[in-house]
Amino acid sequence: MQASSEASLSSSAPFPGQGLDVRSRMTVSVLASMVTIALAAPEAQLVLYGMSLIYALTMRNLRMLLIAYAALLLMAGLAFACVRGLHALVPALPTVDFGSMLVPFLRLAVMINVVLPLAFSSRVQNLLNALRSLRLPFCVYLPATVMIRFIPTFAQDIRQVCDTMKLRGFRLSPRNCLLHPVLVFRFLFIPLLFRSLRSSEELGIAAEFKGMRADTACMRARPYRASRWTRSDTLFVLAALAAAGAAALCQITLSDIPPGRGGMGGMH
Amino acid sequence: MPIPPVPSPPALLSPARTLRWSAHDLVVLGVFSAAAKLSTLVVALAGGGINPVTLLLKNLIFTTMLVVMLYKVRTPGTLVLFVLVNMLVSLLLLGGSVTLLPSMLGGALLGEAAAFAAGGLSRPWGPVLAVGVYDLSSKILSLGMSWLTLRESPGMLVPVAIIVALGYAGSFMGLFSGVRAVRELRHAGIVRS
Repeated sequence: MQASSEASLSSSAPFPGQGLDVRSRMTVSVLASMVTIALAAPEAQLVLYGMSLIYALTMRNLRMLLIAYAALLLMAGLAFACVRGLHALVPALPTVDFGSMLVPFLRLAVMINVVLPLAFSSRVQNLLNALRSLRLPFCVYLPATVMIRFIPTFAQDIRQVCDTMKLRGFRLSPRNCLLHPVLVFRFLFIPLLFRSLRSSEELGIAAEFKGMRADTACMRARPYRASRWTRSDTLFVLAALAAAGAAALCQITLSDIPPGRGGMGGMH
Repeated sequence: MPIPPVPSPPALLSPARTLRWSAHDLVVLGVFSAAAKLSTLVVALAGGGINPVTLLLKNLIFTTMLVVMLYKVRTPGTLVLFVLVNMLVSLLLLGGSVTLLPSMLGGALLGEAAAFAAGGLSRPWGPVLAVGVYDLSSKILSLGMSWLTLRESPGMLVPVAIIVALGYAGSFMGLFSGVRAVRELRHAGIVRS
């Protein structure tokens, strides 16, 4: 699976955002998430949404973006129906209308727009280099590396477990999850738990034998292709800051929400 | 005279540790993070995200994995490190939201503090207490974060609260299944401490 995923990643055409360092994309994600939560005016959210959508479109994976939006719409629709149903049953409970859902929806859409390019544009090797370039402590770097490296292996293991379940006449389906949760737990979880324990023992002993420690492993190792913070990264972060500033300005000038109440007290 | 517990081979190999966690402990943490993340993802995809049984099940699996992992690695700070690594990889690889990090990290710190107040993770019930407090506090803090996101339409918090409550019920059951799994693993000699 790893080989296939690597192949599929390498076959995809490069897009404008791919040359950016992971650190700059992480900075923009954190900035956008903070600003979108702090601001409350629809105009400000629209500015943020427009800018983040442009960034998300550089991912050139419209299908993934549409799937994420469809999931968001589905969840919002279900929550809306649930609130309306509960309000019909218990009138004391608060209800919602479409107008009041605009800002929360835009907020979630902004978060999707900034997180998707970060998650779907990074190759595994780039991520490992990025983790190293973030100068994280060894105690964070090693588990994160093991986790990233083992996700494809565990995905393969889960596929094998699912095949075994099929051989025993049990399919992992929504119906079976609903009707036989104990069986799903036993058939899926127990083999994975033992596999995890065995892998961790073997790998842990191997790491100890290789002398992996904070003063050896991280310091001496040099990445094959070191990630660098370039001028485009600086420009990208500056553009994000400008977009955040423009959104804040919109809130101050166009909206009737007072600037002091624009954040946490912005309920209206 | 009670027989002292047999130390694991890596602990014998590296008596002079320069870190709080040995490489072996960190690898256990990484492997369990990957396993917990993927198994919950598979259950969520197979059962449909909004299926209440799936919500229970995936939280149950995650908590069980966490309890087993904490019984394997009983160093103070392991829960915080687990959450940190999980959130970092989720953000970079799986599209996790940045806004979840403060509530998860806050919950982990509270869990560690509760375990510390009760005598530390090395106590027999230390890991279960830490995970229990972590689950409860992170869910409450997540609800607070949801309020921040949905504060324009507070009515929307009702279904969110129902979903979080269902998730917590699964996590609560996971504490018991985790203890049971650890008991079986200890009986089999896989968890030694």
